[in-house]
Amino acid sequence: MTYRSIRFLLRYRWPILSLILLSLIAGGYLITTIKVDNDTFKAVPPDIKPRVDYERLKKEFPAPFNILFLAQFEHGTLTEKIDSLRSWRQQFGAQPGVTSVTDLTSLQVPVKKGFLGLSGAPVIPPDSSIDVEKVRSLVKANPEFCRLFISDDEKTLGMIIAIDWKADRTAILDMMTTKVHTINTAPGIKTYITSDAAVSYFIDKAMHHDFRLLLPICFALIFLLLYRVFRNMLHVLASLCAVTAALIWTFGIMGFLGVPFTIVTSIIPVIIFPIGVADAIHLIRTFKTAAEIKGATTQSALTTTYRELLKPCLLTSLTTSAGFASFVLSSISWNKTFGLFTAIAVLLCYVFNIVLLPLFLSFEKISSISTAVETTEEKLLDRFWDGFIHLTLVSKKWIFILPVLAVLFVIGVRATRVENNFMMMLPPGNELRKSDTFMAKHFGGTRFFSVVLEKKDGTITSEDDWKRIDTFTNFISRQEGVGNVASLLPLINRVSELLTKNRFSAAAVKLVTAPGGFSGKSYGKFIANFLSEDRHRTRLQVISRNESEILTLTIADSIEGYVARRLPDYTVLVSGPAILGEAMGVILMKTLVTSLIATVIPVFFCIVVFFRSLRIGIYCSIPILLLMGFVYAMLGLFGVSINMITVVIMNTCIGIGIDYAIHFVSGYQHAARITANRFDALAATIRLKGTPILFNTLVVGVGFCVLFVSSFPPIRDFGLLVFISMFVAAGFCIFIISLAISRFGLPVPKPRKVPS
Amino acid sequence: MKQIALVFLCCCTVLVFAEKKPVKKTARSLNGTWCTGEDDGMLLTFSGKDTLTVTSSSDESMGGSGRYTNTDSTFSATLHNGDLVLAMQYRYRWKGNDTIEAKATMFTIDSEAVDVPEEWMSMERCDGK
Repeated sequence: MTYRSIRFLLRYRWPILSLILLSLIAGGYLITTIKVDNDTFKAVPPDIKPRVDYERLKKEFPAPFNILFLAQFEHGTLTEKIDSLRSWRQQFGAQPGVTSVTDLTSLQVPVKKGFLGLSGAPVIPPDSSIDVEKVRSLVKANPEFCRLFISDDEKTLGMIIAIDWKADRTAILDMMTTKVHTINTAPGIKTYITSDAAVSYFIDKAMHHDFRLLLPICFALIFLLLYRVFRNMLHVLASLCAVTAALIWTFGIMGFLGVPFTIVTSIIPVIIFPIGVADAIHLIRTFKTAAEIKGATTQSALTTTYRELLKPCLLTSLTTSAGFASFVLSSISWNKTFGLFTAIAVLLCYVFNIVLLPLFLSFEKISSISTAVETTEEKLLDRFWDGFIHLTLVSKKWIFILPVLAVLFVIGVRATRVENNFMMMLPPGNELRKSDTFMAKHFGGTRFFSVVLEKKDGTITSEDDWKRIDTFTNFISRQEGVGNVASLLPLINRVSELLTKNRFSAAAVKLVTAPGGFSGKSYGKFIANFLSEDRHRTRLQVISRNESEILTLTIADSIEGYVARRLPDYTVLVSGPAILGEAMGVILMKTLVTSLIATVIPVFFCIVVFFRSLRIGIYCSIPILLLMGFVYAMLGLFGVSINMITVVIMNTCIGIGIDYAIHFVSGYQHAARITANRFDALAATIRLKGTPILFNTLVVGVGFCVLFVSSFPPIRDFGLLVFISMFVAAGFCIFIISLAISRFGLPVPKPRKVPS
Repeated sequence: MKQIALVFLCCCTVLVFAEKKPVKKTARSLNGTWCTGEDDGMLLTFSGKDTLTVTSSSDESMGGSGRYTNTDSTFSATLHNGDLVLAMQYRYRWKGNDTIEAKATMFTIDSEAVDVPEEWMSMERCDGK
C-alpha cells in the first residue's frame, strides 16, 4: 500500500504539483477576503448572564461610543490650560461622526436665574479674560460636576468625545491619535486617549505591526535552523513549502467561511511553522538514513521512511490537533476559532508533508545525499545522553527532583491568577494603557459598571425614593475599590439647594424627574443617562479601581445583598464592561479545565488504540500530567495571568509534548526488537531518539521564541512558557517513560511481515 | 369769537388726548413674544387674553403652556408641562416700550414654594425674530 502510494505520487508529481499550486492560488485569494475584528466584546459568549444583562442595559440606557481625552500639563496657568482645551474641543467637534464634546468649557450646571427660576450656565464662562482665581473658584464650586474633567492638582484635564455608532470609528481614532502625537511634540504637554471600545482599535494596530514583524522572523529562524539540521536547501524548501501550503489552506478556509481574524488567530502561523516542520525533520532524517543503504533508490528510501513514520506522524499530528481542537468546546469565540483552525492547520501540515515531501525529494539524486559524519556537537550530545542514561537508569539521584517539582507546583499554583481586563492585552507603553494608569490615578479608576435599580411598583419620582437611593449610593461608594459613583443625585441635590437650600426637596425631584419638562434637551440627555423614560429605573454608574485584587463581582454581590435587605421594593441589575470582564475570568477557567479534559482523554485513547496497549497510554500520560502541573506552576512563578491568549499554553504544551512520548515509545519498541535486554534497549532508544527529539524541541522552542518580540505581553508570555515547557516536556517524556519501562517493562509487538 | 376759539381748542384738546390714550395702552400690552435675557433662547408668548406659552428657539424639546393675569406692575402665571405645574408671581416694570424688567416674588412647583432669584431679569420684545 505504502509502496503503491509512493509510486503514484512520484509518477504523477507534475499534475499533483500543478493541482496544489492552483489550490494555493485560490486559497491566497480567499485570504484577501478575511476581515480583521478584534472587538473584545464579541469574544464574550452571547448567552452568559452578564452579556445578556449588558445587552439589556444598553437597550434601556444610552450607551454612546465615548472616548476620553486626557491632557497632562507640566506648567501653565489654569486659564491657559482651559484655553488649550477649548481649542482642541473645537477641532475634535469639527470631525464628522463626533456628536458632542464635553469638557470644563462646555459643561453646563443649573443656576438660579431666568424666567423659570432655574437655568443652565457654563461652569467656565466663554470669556477668555477671566482670571485664574475666578476659574478655580468656579471649578471648586461644582466638584460633583467637574470631577471627571479636572484632577485635584489641576495638572490633568479631561474631555469626553461622544461618537455616533454609525461613524467610521477607525477614521476618528486615527485623527485623534495623530492629534495626540502632534500635541505631545510640544514641551510640557502630554495627552492621551482612552476608551473601552478603543481597545480593539489599538489591538488591530499592534497586531498588524506584530504580524509584519513576527512572521518573517519566524520564517527566517526556522529556515536557518532547518538548514543547520539538513544542510540541504531542497530539504529545507520542502519542509517550509509544506507548512506554507497548510497555512494558506487554513486561512483560505477561514476566508471562505467568513471567520474574522483576531489577535488570538494571528499567532497561528507562528505556532504552525515550528510544529509543522517537526514531522518534516523526522521524515527527512529517516529518508536520509534509508537513502544511505547500499542500492537504495528514492522510491525505496521513501517507502522505508513512510512505513516507519507514516503512522507515528499521523498519531503525533492527531494528538497535537486534539490538543488545539479541544478549544472548540470553549464558549469564548476567539479561543474556539483559534483551536479549530490550529487543529485544521496541524492536520493539513501532516497531509502536505506526506504529499509534498516525496515530490520534492524525487527531484534529488539519491547519490548526492551526504553520508552522516559525526560532528563535535553530536559527540557532545552523545556525552550528554550518556549522563542522562546514568541519571535515569543507574543512579537514584533523580528522586531529589520530585520534591523540588512539588514545591514549585504549590508555590506557582497559589500565585496563579486570571486576568479579566481586556486592556491588559495591550503593551504597557500603549497609549491606552498609559491613559488607563492616568485615569486610575486621577479619576478613581477605569473599570466601569452600572447598577440599575428598578422600582417594582410605581415610578422613582418621589423625594423619599431619592433619599433612599442616596443612602444606597453612599453604600456603594464605601465598597473597597470603588472610586466614583455617578448618578442623577448631584443634579437633584444642586437643583434642590438652589430651590430650597436643602439637599433634597420634592420640588427638585419633581422638576428633574418630570418627563419632558422645562429643562430642555441638554439636561434631558443627561437625565436619560440615569433615568429611564418611564421613570421606573435609574442607573448608577460605578467606576472601580483597576487592580487585580479588586473583584467587581464581589462588589456586585454586596450591592445585590443591600438591595435585597434594604430596598425590597426594588430589583437590581449589576452589569457593565467590568462585570463582563470578570465573568470572562470565570469562563476562562472553565475553558482551561474543559479543554484540558478534552485534550488528555482523546490523547490517551489515541495512544492506547495506536499502540494497542493500556500500559503505554498510562506511561505517556504521566509525563503529560506532570507537564500540566509544571506549566501551571510556571504561570504563577512568572506572574503570568490566564487570559484569552495564555489559556492556550497548556494545550499547546500537551499537544506538542505528547509527540515526544510517542516518538520515544515507538523508538523503544523498535530497539527492543533488536535487543532483548530492557536496559540496553532503553539506552539505545535514549541515544537514537534523544537527539531528534532534542532537535525537534529546539526547532519548536526557537519558533515560539519569536513571540518574545511581540507587542502584546500575553503573546510574549505564551512564547516564553511554551519555549521552556518544550524542553521540560522532552525531558519529562524521556525521563519518566524510561523510568517506567525500566521498572515495569513494556510489551513489544512482533514485527509485521514486510512485503518484498 | 374768542369764546368760539376757546371752545374749539378745548374740543381739540379733548379729542387729541382722547385719541392718544388708547394708543399708549396698546404699546404697553404684554401680548406678543418676549425673549428673556437670562435664558438662552427662551421665548415667552403672551396671546389672547390670558394665554402664555414658553418655548425655546435653541431647544424644541423645551416648553410649557398655561394662563396668566397681570396688573400694571405684577404678573402671575401657572404653567403646565405634563404632570408638572409651575406657578409664579412677578413684579415688573417697563423700561421703554419693548423692554421689561421683572423680578420673581413667588414660585411654586406642584404647590411647593421654592426660593426665587433675587435679581431683576430683563425681557425684550422679539416678535418675528
